[in-house]
Amino acid sequence: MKKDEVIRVLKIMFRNKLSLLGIIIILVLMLMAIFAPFLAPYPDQARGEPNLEEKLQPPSSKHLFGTDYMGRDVLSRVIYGARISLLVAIAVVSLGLLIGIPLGLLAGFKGGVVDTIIMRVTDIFLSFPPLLLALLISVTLGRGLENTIIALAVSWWPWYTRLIRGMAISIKEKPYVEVAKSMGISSWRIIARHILPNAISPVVVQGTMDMGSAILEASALSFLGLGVQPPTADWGLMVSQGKGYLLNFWWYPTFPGLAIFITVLAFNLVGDTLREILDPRLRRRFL
Amino acid sequence: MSIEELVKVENLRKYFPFKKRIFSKKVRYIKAVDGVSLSIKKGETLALVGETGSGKTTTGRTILRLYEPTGGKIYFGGQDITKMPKKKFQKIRMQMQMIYQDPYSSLNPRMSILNIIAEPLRELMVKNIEDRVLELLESVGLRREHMYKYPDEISGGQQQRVAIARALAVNPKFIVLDEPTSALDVSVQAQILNLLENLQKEKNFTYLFISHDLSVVRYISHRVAIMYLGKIMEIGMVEQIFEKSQHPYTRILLESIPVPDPKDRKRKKLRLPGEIPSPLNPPSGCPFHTRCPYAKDICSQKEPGYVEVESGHLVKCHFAEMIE
Repeated sequence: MKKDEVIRVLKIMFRNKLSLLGIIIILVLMLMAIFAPFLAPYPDQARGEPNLEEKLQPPSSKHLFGTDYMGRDVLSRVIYGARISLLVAIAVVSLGLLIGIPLGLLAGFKGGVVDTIIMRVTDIFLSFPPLLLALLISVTLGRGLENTIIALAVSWWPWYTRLIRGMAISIKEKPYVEVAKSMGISSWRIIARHILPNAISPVVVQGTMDMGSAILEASALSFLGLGVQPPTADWGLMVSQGKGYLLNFWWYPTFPGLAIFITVLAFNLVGDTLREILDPRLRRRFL
Repeated sequence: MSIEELVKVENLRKYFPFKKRIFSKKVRYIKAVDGVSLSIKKGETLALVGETGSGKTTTGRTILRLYEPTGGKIYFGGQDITKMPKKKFQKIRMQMQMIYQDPYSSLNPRMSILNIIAEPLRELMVKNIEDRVLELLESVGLRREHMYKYPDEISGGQQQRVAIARALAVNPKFIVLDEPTSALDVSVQAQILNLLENLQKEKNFTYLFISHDLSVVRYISHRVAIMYLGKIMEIGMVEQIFEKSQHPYTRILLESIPVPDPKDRKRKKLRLPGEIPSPLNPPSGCPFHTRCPYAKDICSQKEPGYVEVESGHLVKCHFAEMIE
């Protein structure tokens, strides 16, 4: 993307109230994740140290979000949980893009047998419901953060491949690609300089939106006991452990649940606005 | 074949397969170009004129082998390029460039003008690329300040100038101009046409000028070929076509040129009834007989050959030289 276009997009994003809210939330989450040891009132408890004398305390000035069944400060654990969630979001989406974009470009640009092979493979992946596939891989690989990321990324990339293949097919028919070919520009150059820059916008939008979905799915895996393992502070895991306490000790599953909700919402707000700006049909509104 | 002729096409055909019914095995063909023969001399502009769907753009693209021809022969500089292997053809292909109807879609919107023009130069290992780009920009009437802009920041006419500058970068000999001005304002059209004409004089370019606008054609070309349903109906020098046309189709096209004179409205004109027939199911005999005001029985039965009514002036009509 060109430099002034990036600036223009950012300007619009900051002017739009909803996307501004989304950006602020994401920035706050990032700061929270980076400075978790300084922000969390009880960093040791966030890392898993039990504090059994104060278990299941309601929110108070000492424990703003209350404490869990081991007496650990829920606020501290929610702050530390941001680290896991953002890591998962960024890792899953980047891995997905890293696999999905080159394959999609290749399939769309080369066509023929290459296209058929790549697209049939993605079809196999897409024929599974995404969470089910991630679950399956998770079970096969075993528990843990890295395996969760791998499992989600594997079920994620085919969507990007499909998206970018469609764009590549339409762009390779453009006269400027035809001209480049006629001037002896190599296929790699054409893909890198002509196809990719013009095909990337919808994928950027999808990727932003997917950050939220990745957090949600990682939480779902943790909730089912397949993702991050205790005593790591993870939002999905906390909701899972706290669900039995919901009626009597509402704060325990509610605050991590809210954290998931707000984070997913923030990524969606940003992604939505980004789509409206980058979609040429909706562009006029912002010019 | 004389060396004077840079491009020569013999009996060129391009059929596109078309399956109408899902279960029918029989493949039918759209005969977009059906037996076109023409030649263009060095430094000459041949205009290819026809209605929408007459196959003029397909002819241009097939000559550049952007479509593989179904049949016939294409010669460039005396060499048969019809079936030349891709690698060998690539060197020749550089000498044949194309200017498109829509200048915006022929420029990558994510590249600066500098990069758009520099791309082929880098491929050719040109040194001092920036100086060369500036030179090219100036040769099409643009300035240094345009170098750092992007295609959507300049006007349509300027975009077309950039497309021309990029084509010049590879030192072509032959340029196919596919309605290069029809997307532009009338005032800008004239500027681009003048530019193309001056470049031709300067560098001895050979043009194939595809257009449906006869007034533009008269202005820029040396020879004119009139196409209808994939076939050339009449071909000749500009004066022969515009002053002494012998084919009823050409006559009707010429009559349809708007004249800026209100009195002219009262004049009775020949009009063209209906639309161009489907190239999927062309009429028997002369392809034009379904719309021809002079059509006789023979026209629907026998396809006319070419009659040379004057040196270099060919007419595909049974009644050539007889029409008033």
